[in-house]
Amino acid sequence: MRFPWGMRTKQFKQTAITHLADVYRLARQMTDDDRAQDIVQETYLRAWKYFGTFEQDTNCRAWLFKILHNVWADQWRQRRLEIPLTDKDEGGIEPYYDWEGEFLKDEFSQDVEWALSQLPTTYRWAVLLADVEELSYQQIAQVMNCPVGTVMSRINRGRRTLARLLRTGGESQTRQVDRTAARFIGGE
Amino acid sequence: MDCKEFRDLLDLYVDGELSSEAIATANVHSSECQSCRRARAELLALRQALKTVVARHQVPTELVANVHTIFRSPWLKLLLGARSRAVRILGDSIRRPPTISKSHAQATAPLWKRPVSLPAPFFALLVLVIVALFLWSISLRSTKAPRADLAPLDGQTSIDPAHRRPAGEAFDISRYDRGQRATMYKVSSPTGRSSGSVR
Amino acid sequence: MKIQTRAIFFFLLASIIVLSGGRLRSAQSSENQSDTLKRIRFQIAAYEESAGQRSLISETTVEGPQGSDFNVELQGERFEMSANFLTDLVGPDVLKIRAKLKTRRLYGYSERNLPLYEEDNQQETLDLGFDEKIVLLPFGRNDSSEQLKIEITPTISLTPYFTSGKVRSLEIEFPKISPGGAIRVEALKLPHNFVIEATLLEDGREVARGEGGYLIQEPREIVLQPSDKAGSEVASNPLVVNLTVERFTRSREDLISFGFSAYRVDKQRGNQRVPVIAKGAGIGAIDSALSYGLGGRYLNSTGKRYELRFRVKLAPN
Repeated sequence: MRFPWGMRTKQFKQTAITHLADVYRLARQMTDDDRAQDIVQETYLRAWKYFGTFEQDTNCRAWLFKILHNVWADQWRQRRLEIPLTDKDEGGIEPYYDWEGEFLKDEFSQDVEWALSQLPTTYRWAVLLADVEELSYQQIAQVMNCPVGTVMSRINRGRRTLARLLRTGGESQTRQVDRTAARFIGGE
Repeated sequence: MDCKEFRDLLDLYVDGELSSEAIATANVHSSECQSCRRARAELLALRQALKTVVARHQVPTELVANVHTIFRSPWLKLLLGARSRAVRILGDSIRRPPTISKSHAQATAPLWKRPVSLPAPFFALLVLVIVALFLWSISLRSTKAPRADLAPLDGQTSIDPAHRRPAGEAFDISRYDRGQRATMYKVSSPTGRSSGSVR
Repeated sequence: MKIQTRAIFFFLLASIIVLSGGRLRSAQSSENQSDTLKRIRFQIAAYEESAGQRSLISETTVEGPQGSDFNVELQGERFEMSANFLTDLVGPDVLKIRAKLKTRRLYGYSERNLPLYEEDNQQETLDLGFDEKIVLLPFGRNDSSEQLKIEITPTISLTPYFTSGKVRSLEIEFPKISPGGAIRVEALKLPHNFVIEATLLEDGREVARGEGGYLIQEPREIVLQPSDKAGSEVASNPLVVNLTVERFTRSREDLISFGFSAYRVDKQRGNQRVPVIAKGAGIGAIDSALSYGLGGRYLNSTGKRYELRFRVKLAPN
């Protein structure tokens, strides 16, 4: 009777567990903390189950993001009432928002977090995988299970939508949205 | 390369998806055109801001602990009485152990880490002894009083069945939800005729 | 032989008398015992009804002395329900069940990704016989093919002792646990019956008193009857207190919390009720005194200092 448990555990720790922080932070941008923890756990459960199929020389982080995306899609996408943003970009070059000097202010990073939360989820995945995780377009296409051309389009639109949200200003929108939320929660 | 071409390729340029020739051309344009250079800088600044925002969230310690229980040894899990979905996954893994080739590291690992070989008859005997002990302990328990007092007098009893091993697969009561309001009434039993207040 | 027969006859007669007398006595004592040691058993079963078929999802039994309470909680991905049941045996065959239902349903998400919930609170009081049961539909009545139904069936159990002779207290068993622990039951045995003493003090001297038995969460009025020491002003303006014992908390020191309002009944103006304290509240230990200064709200004209004092006790069993 053989007990090779230790070897597999060690490999899993070295290759997969080291990316736990990245996986969690990505999940955290898609949902709240409780659900993020839940889907990260489910991701690692599946990763452990199928660890035998993972090719050791390939990008484990991208593999985990793919599992995470699938778990998220399975569990949460159907449950969410998504209010799509109207995309006013109809072609042509849109000038970028002038951010020079704004990055020093604390409020700006709050605006960025808010703007990110407003992005439709498909754009948000693409922007996060490209800008934060710095995956290649090919890797992003595998994670999101779509063609590379679609990835390019989502990244492009996602970034421009972020810029538009930041340009139109988060503060006035925040107050309006908070009042709406309060009416729903407090009313009978 | 003109400004329109540069702006059209800006995303790929920043993401390193251009060919080396295209990168060189874009570099030249960027050095010559202030507004395109600023657009590139702004996009890079946005990337940095996104990284900063995302990095603010730290991994909760409970998540780290929970994830580590996933690949804990099944024997250790049974000993610790751990309850998690991973037990089912680990059960699968035990029945179909993953094929992992031997490596030099395995052969040179410390003695306590090396895989153990047990003769089959000895293992069978060990299993029989464990089963016999288990059955004997059950027979001892059955001679005691059949029901235990679960709560002190005038106290509060709260035994959460979720802490016991749940039977059956994943079950979500939300599937019965049609958005109606909860209602409660009384009926005669066992005939089932309704009486009393009904909403 | 005759003597022997007589002796045998008397012996048999005496035995019959002794035995039957003993049986009568034990029947009486067991009746008394059953009155004081009546145990109520609640079977709480959750069923799925689908296309005319019924399948059991979970079953819990709660058994305890009269006055045992239980909570039923449901937890789903987008829905949660908490149902609290206070039970009291108010007659030989009648249970008073006071139920509070709270449901919370995830409605969706706001533009700012905040969850939106639909909440509902209901209260229901039922008098339940032992030939009846409560049916709880957490999702209401609907025409869909699948429905979740929770049935609560009471029975009387008369086995208050273990074989060792030890008195049984509150017990809970789980013959069938719901998958994933979606349905949870919790049982509690806390006092329901209290006695409240209310006294009116004039310059530190008792001038009126009232007392009443209270069932938890049931409002009741008591009139503070003026004593001989009360003056004419107090006698013609008796104090009435409307009080509800809201909660009993078991801790290092048992506490009860209550809410009350107090009125002065003006006999000289057609028994008009004049508010003295509108929304009073108190939390205190059992047998401790809680005092409320009335200031000039009770009787301004006498120039005296008035105080309302409560003392809460557990009702004797």
